[in-house]
Amino acid sequence: SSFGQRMTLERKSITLQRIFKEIRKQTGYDVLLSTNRIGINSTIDVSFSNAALDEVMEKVIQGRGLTYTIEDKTILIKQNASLMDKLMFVFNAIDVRGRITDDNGKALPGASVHVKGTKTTAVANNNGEFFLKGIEDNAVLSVSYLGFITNEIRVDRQTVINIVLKEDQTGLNEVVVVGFGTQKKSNLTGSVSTISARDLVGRPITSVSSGLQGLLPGLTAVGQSGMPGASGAMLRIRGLTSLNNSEPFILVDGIPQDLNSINPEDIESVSLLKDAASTSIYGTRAANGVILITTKSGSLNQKISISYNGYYGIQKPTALPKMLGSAAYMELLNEAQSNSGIPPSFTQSQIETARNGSDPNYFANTNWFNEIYKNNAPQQNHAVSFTGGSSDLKYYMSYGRQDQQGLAVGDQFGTVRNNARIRLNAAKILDILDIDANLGYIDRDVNQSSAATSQNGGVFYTGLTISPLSPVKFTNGLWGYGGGSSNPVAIATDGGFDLAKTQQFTGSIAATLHLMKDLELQAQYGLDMHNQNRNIFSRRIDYLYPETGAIWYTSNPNNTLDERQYINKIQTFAAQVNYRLNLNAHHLKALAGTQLEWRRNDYWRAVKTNFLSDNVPVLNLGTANPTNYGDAFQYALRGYFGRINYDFADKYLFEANLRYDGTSTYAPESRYGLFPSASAGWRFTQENFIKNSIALAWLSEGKIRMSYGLLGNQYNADASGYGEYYPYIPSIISVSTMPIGNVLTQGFAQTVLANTALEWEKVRMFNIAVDLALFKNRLTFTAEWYNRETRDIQLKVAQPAVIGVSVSDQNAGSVSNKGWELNLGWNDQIKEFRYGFSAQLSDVKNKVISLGGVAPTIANNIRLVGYPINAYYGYKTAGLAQAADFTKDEVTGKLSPNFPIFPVDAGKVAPGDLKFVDLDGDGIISADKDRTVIGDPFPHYTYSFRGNLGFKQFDFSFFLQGVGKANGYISGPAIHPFYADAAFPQEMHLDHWTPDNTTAWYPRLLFKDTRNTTRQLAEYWLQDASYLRLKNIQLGYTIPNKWISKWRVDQFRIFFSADNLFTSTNFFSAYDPETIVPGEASGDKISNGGFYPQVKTIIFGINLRLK
Amino acid sequence: CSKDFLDRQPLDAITDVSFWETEEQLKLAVNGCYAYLKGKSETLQDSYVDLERCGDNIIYPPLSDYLSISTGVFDYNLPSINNEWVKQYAAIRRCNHFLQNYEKAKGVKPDLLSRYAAEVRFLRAHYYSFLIMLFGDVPLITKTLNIGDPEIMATQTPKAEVLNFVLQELEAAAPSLPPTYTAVDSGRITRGAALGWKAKVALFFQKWDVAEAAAKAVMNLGIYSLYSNGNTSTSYKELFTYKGKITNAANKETILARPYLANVSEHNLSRESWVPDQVSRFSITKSLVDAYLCSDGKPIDKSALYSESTYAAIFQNRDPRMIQTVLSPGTAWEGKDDGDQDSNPNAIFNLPKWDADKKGTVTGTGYYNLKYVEPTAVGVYNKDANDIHLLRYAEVLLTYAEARMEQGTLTQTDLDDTINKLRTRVGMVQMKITELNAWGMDLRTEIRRERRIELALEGHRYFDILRWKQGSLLAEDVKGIKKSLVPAYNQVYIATIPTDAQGYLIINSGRKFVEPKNYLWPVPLPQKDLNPNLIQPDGWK
Repeated sequence: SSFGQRMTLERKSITLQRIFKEIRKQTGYDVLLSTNRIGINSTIDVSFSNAALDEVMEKVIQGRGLTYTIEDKTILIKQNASLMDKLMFVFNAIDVRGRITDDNGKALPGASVHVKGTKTTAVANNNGEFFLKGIEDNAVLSVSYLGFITNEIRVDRQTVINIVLKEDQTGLNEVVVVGFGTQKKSNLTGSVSTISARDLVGRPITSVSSGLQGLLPGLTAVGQSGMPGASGAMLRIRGLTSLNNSEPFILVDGIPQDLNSINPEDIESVSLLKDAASTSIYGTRAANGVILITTKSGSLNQKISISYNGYYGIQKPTALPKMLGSAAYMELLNEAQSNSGIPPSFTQSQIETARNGSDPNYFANTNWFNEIYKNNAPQQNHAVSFTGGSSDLKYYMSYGRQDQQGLAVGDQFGTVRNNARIRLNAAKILDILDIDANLGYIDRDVNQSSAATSQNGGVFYTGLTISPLSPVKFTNGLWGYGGGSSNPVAIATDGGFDLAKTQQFTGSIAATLHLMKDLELQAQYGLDMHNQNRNIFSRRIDYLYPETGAIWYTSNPNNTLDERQYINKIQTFAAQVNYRLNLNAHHLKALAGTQLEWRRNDYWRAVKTNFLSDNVPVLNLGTANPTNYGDAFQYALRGYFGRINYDFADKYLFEANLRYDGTSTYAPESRYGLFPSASAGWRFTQENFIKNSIALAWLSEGKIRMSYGLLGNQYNADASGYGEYYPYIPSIISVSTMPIGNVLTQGFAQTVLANTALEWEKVRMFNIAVDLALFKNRLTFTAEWYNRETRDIQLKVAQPAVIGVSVSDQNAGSVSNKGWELNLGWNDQIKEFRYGFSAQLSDVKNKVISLGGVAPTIANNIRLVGYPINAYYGYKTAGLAQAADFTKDEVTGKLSPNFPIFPVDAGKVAPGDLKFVDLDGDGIISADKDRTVIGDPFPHYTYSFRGNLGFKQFDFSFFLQGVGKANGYISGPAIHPFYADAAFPQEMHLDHWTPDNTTAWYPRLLFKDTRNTTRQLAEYWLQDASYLRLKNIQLGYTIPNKWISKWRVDQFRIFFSADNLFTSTNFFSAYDPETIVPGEASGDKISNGGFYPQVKTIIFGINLRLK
Repeated sequence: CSKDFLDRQPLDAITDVSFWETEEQLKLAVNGCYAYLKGKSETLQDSYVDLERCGDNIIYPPLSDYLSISTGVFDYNLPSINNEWVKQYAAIRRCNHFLQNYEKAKGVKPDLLSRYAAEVRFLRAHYYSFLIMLFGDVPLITKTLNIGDPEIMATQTPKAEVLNFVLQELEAAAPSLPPTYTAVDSGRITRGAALGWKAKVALFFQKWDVAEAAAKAVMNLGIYSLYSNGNTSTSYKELFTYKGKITNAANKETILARPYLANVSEHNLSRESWVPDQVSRFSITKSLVDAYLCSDGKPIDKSALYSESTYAAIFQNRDPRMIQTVLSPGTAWEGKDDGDQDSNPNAIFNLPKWDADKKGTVTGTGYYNLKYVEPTAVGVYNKDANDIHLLRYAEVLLTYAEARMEQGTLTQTDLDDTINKLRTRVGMVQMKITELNAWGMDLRTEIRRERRIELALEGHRYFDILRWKQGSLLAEDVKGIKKSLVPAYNQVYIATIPTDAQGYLIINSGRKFVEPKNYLWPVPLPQKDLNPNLIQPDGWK
């Protein structure tokens, strides 16, 4: 009621209309009249001092034969229902019908129409139609639908009323997809972030994973490569859970699937499930968080709508190394060799030859990065979709094509992806059955140079390792060569290709049986079949002497076809029962079900060499060395799950989940695990004392929520060899060995120990959060804090090498992740000016708590108790040594350092070398005692800021994204010149230490120096990899409907958009700051520069919708 | 769904329980144990021939783990040292696994079963022999270990005990091994390999009588002879080309090799030797060149035949093995442009090249290697299929001679049966004890010289320096040719290379060899970290 509302008003002869305005002003309550029998211009005398609203209203209606009700901040005044009045009411009653739709004319089945001041309510049917019988001819209808702004309409004697609801941009009333169901966002107790289709629109994203960067608080996405068809960004939800697999579990419409083959245009919504409460229903797959993708579907009773979205644009690299020219290289090489006591390679006259270009064959001056890269490469995307529905069937059909060409010359790099999707939903078959059939087909070609694109080879890495003295082509027009690295331009152009063709079919069919009003059965079968044929054809390239034409060098002397076939089949089946019970203010939802997943992969490979033709790479034309390989693996998972949601009056919210999961991966006795979670929330704004408080009128929504639960972490995603899918079975596998009797023999051996006791990694997670919406939902704010601890981590406990075999994992060690996330949004519209902002900031502190009592394995990326996983482990440094740091022997003239050095370097340390810090103070630097944790590769304080502005037909948006703190480390030829023959200087190395340049950045140059002094991982080499990036900027113009509607065009928008246009960072100018890869479990991820660069993309596109 | 839904098996592996049943399975498991034989690789633990770089016969000046070891500038964190340790124990584990299980197989003919076991016992002893030669005391593991077994954290077994085990195992394996195999099995371990390796190990550890007896046993097998094509000027070098592969029936000299196979299992040795646009990775040192006797049987400082007046003169009137080991003027090569004044390719080598203009192979010392170079494999990367000889009959003969000499029982007849056979093959004058005495030459020095010369560049030299306790040789500056032999037009390229008092180029200096520390490798740092019970050898503590 209205106890909280008070007002003060003292006035003589004031009209009722004036009083009603004053009520609105002071209490926020509207006054509505359902009768015109009140003379609103009649006057009374009033004198209220902090009077209750009821007191005011009593005074207003006094003696007028009126009554009033207060509901939802609305005061409805109507006539006293005398017998006469009741008769009059029947006389005035009318029937009202109409249709409720959204902005786009899409029907909103289930929307409710409430007649204010009465108990009469109607619900829109599947066509969005409602019917109200016998209501007052001037009643007020309140029309509401989840996710839309409630609208109030006066009947005004109309009998047909069509109502359009506007989508609620704040999302507070949104329904979000959660595990095995949906939930009203306002009633969520778990930690779930969502985005919808409009967050991805108009951006030149090539994969969904990179498109998600910066959009979802708690999700860290690190772009790994700009290569066409590359696997997209590396995704981590709330840090690194495990020392092993930290990949989130991704489901598309309920089916586990690769995120990156999806057509971004098909996505309706993305839910990111972050805490134990929201993920534990996925049990052992959920420890790293879950991403749920829902694809678009049609609407019932909607005319067909056809849309086309397309763009065309160009890509450019964000950063490239700047290599030095030949003369500078030769001078620095000579300097390095002299410093190392090795005779200089080049004479002054040779340097002069390089400088004046008089010998373009042997003393060329090639800027290889200019030669390897094209100025830009095109990228285009086209998507067509058809959507609509009849009264019992809705459909969505789409086709998308993405064509991205690579930046390397020779056109070997590129990808083409074709996506087709059909989604059909049949509703209420025999009144009780819904069917959802969802078929997707993806055809994807990814092509690259056969020389691969790896850390240690291929076209891009070779740009760093080839001498500028080698020409691209000799003066006779044939491929240039100069010893050492092969010519990357020749390889990119003539070296052959590596073409992976993937055909992927994903299909699911789901049935929902509405047994009773509040009880339904659901079942879903899903299939992901993806087959890949990969052909690697490596062509022979002969490099000929420019004078004689004799062969100088041949790369890949036997042209080789390596054909590989991968057959992957993943099947899932889930069945569940849903129950719902609403008793007054008690709302209960429950579900229980089971889920199966089973997978089989088959692989074979055949290789032949010496092909008759370079142009027809088919195995039958290979003439020599046929070899073949084959392999397969399988696994199966079975789980049972249940969930109960209860709320009282949408105010006190509770949820509990339970999952019982089993896997084929572990021994029968340790196969199953139980994973419960619970959560609770309190929407304090539903409490009357807040609801009715004037002081808190600005507070529209507020909720505090908390959750705790247990999750499991799956082993097999970490399996490096297929045999490892069964770590409890000691297995004997094929191993390579030496030829015997002039044939290649095969060997068999056990390569990994078995561990029958291995079981799930267990994750415990606590989450607390507050959600607020202020100023009529214009401002939204969420803050979360969580503590996640992973125990029984599967760890290869390093063993002394006498054990002689790789050890299996053991359940040892634990890791904690404590983090927070902030999310702030503002949305408003001032007449025709629409604008909104959203900002996100999050961080997670990762720490190894235990390693199962064993010593850490010392490596550059170490796992050390008390420090982040894979922290950089190396030497502290004290800058470059200067002459003053040495004592000169008066007799011999030899310099001896006054600072600690590695004993083996004695006699070889000179001014310009790095000074290491002697941590243990024993006077010498040693690998075992003087290394410590010096940095953390995981990005911290990841943030983003998005804004959108719209005025009339124009829309503009920008998206800034960045990382506040990260240590980057680049190794190998990417940063160190001359440590090998194939390591060349860059412009940044001009600033190296010499007696004349003692304040230089780079130490004195040395040739092939493997002393302990220079290239060790040391604090000195870590770089600040924080950055701020203009991730996207977009400007659009929608052509006014009046000009185009006669051609059945519903919407026509043209836009300009750019990704990664601008980056601000202190990281090496030569490399993108995202190049650093957070330390991962597998492999040495410290980058040495051998990668396809990140790209910036500038596009122009259109959005067209026909009706 | 069915109850066994989760009962699945790997599809690509055989379980340890169901393996070890058939003869074929045993054979495949034996084959797996061969995987760790050293051959040619850039990684130290996988290469035998590259171990030559740890000695004083060749040099590749840019730093590497090989150079660190050879110059004595390395610590217990040198990665290659750990790699060697890890590799050998991986190999030993595989052998132990076989030996623990092979008797489970059914229906295997007893002699085949014992042959398989003997092959593996040989291999295990072979792998252990590298551990004791390089590390001294090492843990002796003869069964498969599991996490938690106390042996994992045990300290080292004394070297003498491991040596005993190695010698006994070789002795025990020999009778079950066939003297020869049919073509399909050529390359497998023979009785001669077991006895010959035993002789080699015994010699390393100065068990002269054991070495002598084992060498004699190989000689008495009567199946080995020195490889010859009838031509004294090509027989020796031909052994290190494709004609000398162990599968070639005409090669009755090679006892143990790591075979290679074209397009299947290949290495890069020939290209590394003569890479025609870079520096040769195997530049021969002055030290080795000077070790070759003159053709009169006298060393260069005693022989009237020796002249250093020109580059070509150095190669004249020398032990004929010299020009079959060291590239000499007038020899066909694939190194393209040599050190002549023009920069055109030369089919015939005449002068060492110093100019890094990428038109031909640059030398590090003034010399190039010829031995082991397969000219057809120079032009392409990693396309060399030369076998790497780990043990050949010539070494057995040298071992016999040295073991007899050390016991004071060496006779002229012994020399004629051993060293003089090697000399006959190449047309070198015979070694006569009387002449040595007359010329004031020391018999031990000459026996050792003969071994160095005959086995040069094959990977044995570092081990010989260690066992002869000649570590001081590694501390000496590495030198090349006389600076004055370089033509004037090439002087610009070597202008900054220092020379010694006699005018020889000093290629590498600042070397050290700490006695006795550097006669053993230290326990690798990662192993010491994981097992503190391991004890560093003297000098490394």
